[in-house]
Amino acid sequence: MKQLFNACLALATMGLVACQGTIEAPPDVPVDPTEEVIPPSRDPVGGAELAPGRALRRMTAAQFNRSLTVATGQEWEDFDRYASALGAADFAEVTEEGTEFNVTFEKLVEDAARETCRAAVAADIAREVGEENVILRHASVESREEAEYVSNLSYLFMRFLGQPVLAGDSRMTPWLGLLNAPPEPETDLDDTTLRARWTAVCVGLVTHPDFVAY
Amino acid sequence: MTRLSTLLASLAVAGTACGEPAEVVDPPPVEPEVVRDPERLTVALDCDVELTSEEHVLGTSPEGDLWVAGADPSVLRVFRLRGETTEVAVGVEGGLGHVTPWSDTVATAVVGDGMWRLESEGPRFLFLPEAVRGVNFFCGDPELDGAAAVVTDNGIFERAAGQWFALGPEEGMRFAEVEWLASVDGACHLRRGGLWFGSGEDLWRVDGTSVGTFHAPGATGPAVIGQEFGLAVPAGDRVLFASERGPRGEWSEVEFPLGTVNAIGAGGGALWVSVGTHLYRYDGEWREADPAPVGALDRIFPDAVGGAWLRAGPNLCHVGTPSLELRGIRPYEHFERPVANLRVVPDQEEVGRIEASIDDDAPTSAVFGDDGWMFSGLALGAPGWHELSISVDGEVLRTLEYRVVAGDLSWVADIEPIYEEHCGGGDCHAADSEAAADLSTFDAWIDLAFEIQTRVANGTMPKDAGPEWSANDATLIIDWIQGGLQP
Repeated sequence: MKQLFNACLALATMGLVACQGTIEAPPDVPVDPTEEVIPPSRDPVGGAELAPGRALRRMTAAQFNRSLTVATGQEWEDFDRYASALGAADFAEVTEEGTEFNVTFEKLVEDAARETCRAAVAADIAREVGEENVILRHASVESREEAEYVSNLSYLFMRFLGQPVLAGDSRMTPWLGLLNAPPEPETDLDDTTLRARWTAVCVGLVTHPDFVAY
Repeated sequence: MTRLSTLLASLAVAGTACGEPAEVVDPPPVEPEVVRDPERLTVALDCDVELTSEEHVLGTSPEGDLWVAGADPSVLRVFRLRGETTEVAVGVEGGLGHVTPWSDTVATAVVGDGMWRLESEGPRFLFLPEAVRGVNFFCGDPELDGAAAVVTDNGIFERAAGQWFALGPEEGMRFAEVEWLASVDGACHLRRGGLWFGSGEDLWRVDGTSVGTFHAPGATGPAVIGQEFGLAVPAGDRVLFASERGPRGEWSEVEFPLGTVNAIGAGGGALWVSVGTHLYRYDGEWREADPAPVGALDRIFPDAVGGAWLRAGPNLCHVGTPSLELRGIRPYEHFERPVANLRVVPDQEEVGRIEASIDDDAPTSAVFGDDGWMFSGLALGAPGWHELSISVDGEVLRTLEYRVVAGDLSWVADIEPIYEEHCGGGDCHAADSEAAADLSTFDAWIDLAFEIQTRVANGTMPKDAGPEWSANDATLIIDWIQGGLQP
């Protein structure tokens, strides 16, 4: 209203000084500001980004071996031989568990994955009907249905990585690509190839960063 | 106006003291502009898209990609302007709420209690602090500072300087029961505009330094914003306009004698208004679309290309002809990196050259390759707002504005001058100040960077800011802090 008052005052002055003429009011407006212009209140309520969490940690050698045994149902026979190379403390010369990511660890994890996954898939195939499989729980090497692939991959994601898979989850795409890829030279997809591919899925999950780190 | 009339009458009486009374003229009512049988605008009307009875429109991207949800909540259908239809997996369980599409593959969505970015690579969770959770609707990109506002049951919240702020008309108060946020092309703000929102007949405009509160009789909302007209809000058989000239705006109104305004929409600088079975378009002048859409429209979903999707009950049509598809940038987008890769899809196949010009600088030519016409690593310019024009064979077909957020800001070149002008004087933040922290050195700003950022962002600093203080000063300080506090 200050501006309005000033305008009126000016008009009044003109009227008094000139003592003649027309006083014209400013035109009406369809919307009236109802309050004075004031700075808004901005009350901080929280950071826009999730606060940085702790750094990613690698499993120790013992943790990896135990996890591998639980996930695949198979023992890695060479563990004791390579434990120190995986970072296990011997408490003679090394007293701290190694948790560094390095090439040696990666190589040995791959070796362990190949050995245990081959054994796990072989055990599943040899298992009697009615017994619960570890790797091929919702699909078999005879399965060619994508729905069965997705179902088994979802189960394996939860078993190895502890991650749920939702309908249409794009993380499935590369795994399904592996299972569905036409063999070379182009022939029908046989059971031997599917067995190798499910073994590769298992190896891929064991060597996944989400498996060996937490 | 009663007080004004009384005041004027008393002034007139004062005038009689001179013996010659001044003539008092009643305030003339503002005659609204009447849109009556305007010039025709011949448009292409395409009604080929058919939705099932279970499908509903979620929104449209600035490039006109229409996002539709159906009976299966896990998959969304996207209709592109050039006829292709694609599907996007939601990938998140929970009820789908407000969705703002950004392209044919990317959207920000409220799903269940959370916000997600839906992308072809899979959904990405967007973190919100506890006070901001339970979003009902939003405008802008909530992943970027200075670009987004969200509304929850607890009020309206704005993101700035790495934080979320609850907005209120004054200290200790909050805006409650907000029913709509004005937006254009998904963005909350025009280049120099404020954030507009409303509830019933009450409207508010908030910017860095002011709150404007308005009562607009008959206003129904939601309102839209646009560079050509400011704010537009439907009110019965009228549309009320407020220009973006400061917190009070300059109000005017346009009347449509053929009936009540059914729907309005804004995009690409144009305003669309549906009145009965008539569709009007305003881009500096009013014109009526010809042919008229089928039936009275319930919703208009404009794009930035110059057209709009129209929904009338189960019918869905697109009006307008797409001239040029532009991927990699959208109107009013905020860029944290000053480069972008743009892909241009011209309407015609035979094209000689495509050029991009920023702020009328010398144009850069697009290169035709495997991905079509590309501007790879296009330099977007210094921090601040810019205008991009895309021309095909010399004819400008698209123009849009965007903002570069971070860049080469330094304390010496950009911040110290602001300090000298607004912070160092009097008994404020000078070196020998006893009342407040010394901010006269670069090191002092480093030590207090977070506090400075918060207080500048929420408007509590500088205290008693004069008219010389602008939102741009605040933006520079925040951008400098977030850009790495360069000396």
